Amino acid sequence: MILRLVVKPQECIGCRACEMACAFTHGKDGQPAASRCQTMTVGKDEYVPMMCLQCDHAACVQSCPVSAITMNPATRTVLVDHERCIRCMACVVACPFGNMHFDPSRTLIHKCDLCAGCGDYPRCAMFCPTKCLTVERVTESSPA
Amino acid sequence: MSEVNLGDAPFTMTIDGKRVEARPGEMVLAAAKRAGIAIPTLCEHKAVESFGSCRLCMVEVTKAAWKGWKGLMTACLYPAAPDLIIETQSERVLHVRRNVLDLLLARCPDSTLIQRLAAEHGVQQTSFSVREQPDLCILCGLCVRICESAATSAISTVKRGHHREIGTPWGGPPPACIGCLACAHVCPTGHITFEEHGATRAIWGRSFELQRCAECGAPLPITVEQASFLVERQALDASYFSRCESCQRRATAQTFGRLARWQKLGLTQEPDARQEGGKR
Repeated sequence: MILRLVVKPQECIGCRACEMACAFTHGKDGQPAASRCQTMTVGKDEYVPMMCLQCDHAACVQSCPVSAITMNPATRTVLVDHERCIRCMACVVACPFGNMHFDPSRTLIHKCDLCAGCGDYPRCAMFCPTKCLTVERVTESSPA
Repeated sequence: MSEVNLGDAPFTMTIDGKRVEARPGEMVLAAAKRAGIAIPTLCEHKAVESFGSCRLCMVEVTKAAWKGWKGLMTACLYPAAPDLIIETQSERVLHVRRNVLDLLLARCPDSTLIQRLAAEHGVQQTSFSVREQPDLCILCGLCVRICESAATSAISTVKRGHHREIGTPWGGPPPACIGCLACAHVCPTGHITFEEHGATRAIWGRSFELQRCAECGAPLPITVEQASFLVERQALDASYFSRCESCQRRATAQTFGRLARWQKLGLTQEPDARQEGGKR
């Protein structure tokens, strides 16, 4: 079953609940640096929540010299193996969407993993008040 | 080695009295780790093959058919096999581990990691004479192995005997180094240090210019040499390493914002999307 996070920027009100949910799920005490989701302001009252798009042919995967970033074939989620990662920052620069992050306090590369291992249900979608972020579960046979 | 299972089927072995599943070709350390059995290591890293240089992961290995004979092996290099019986906390294992830490503590008395590991094993003070002018290097060679597999083999162990150390060709700034900092990041004791000021980075006595963002000019977290190395090694276009994280994110957000604006107006596709697209 493929997990898919659907983002509808037209519904976003810029409340940043997703950022908070992400920071509290993946970091200590909700420090903002731990959030893998960032809400960008693109115009008056126009916001876009930005997180990893889980690309099929991801630039981060291609740029990693030690193959520490792989796609989980079951959920189609791109995951970083922190034990394999050498923190060379190639993926951070290579991501064409700027969605790979480096947390300097923990010297850790982090990206949205759709909360793999943290309940396996994206916490940002759980806390989004306007259904701008929703979760879809897609079976393999349905069109991408 | 008739007893090594060459098939793909997982098998079981015993670690600390617990039945643990292992896969063919896997080392004892990996199987133990997956089963949640902690074995201390210093020189192990998933990005490179095991090397067995720190000797901290020693375990006792036996089989029922071995009539009581037990061998001390490094868990990171001993292949898992069916019906192995492994002990990670036996008196003999702990004795060897204490000895290793005792020696490491004599070599690197200032390393907080070694101090902590030694204290955890009951070694508060080394029983050997402390090395003169100690540094933090335990000579595990992990930096050398990482540099070899992920970068350019810019560093290696140099000199012999007790003069042995991690160094560069002829002790000078390493010509092959790309300044990726992988060696510094994997070093278990923090012996390898680097400095970064503005758009320059210094490591191994060599100074590197950081790659700059083609759009805003801010320094990227990779060096110019590293960018060209990655382009060649990973067979990617140079544009992959030319723009900074925040410029990329802003450009993407603006595209998405524009699409959302059109969607609000009931359009499924932006009229000029074809002409405006194709940036990357």
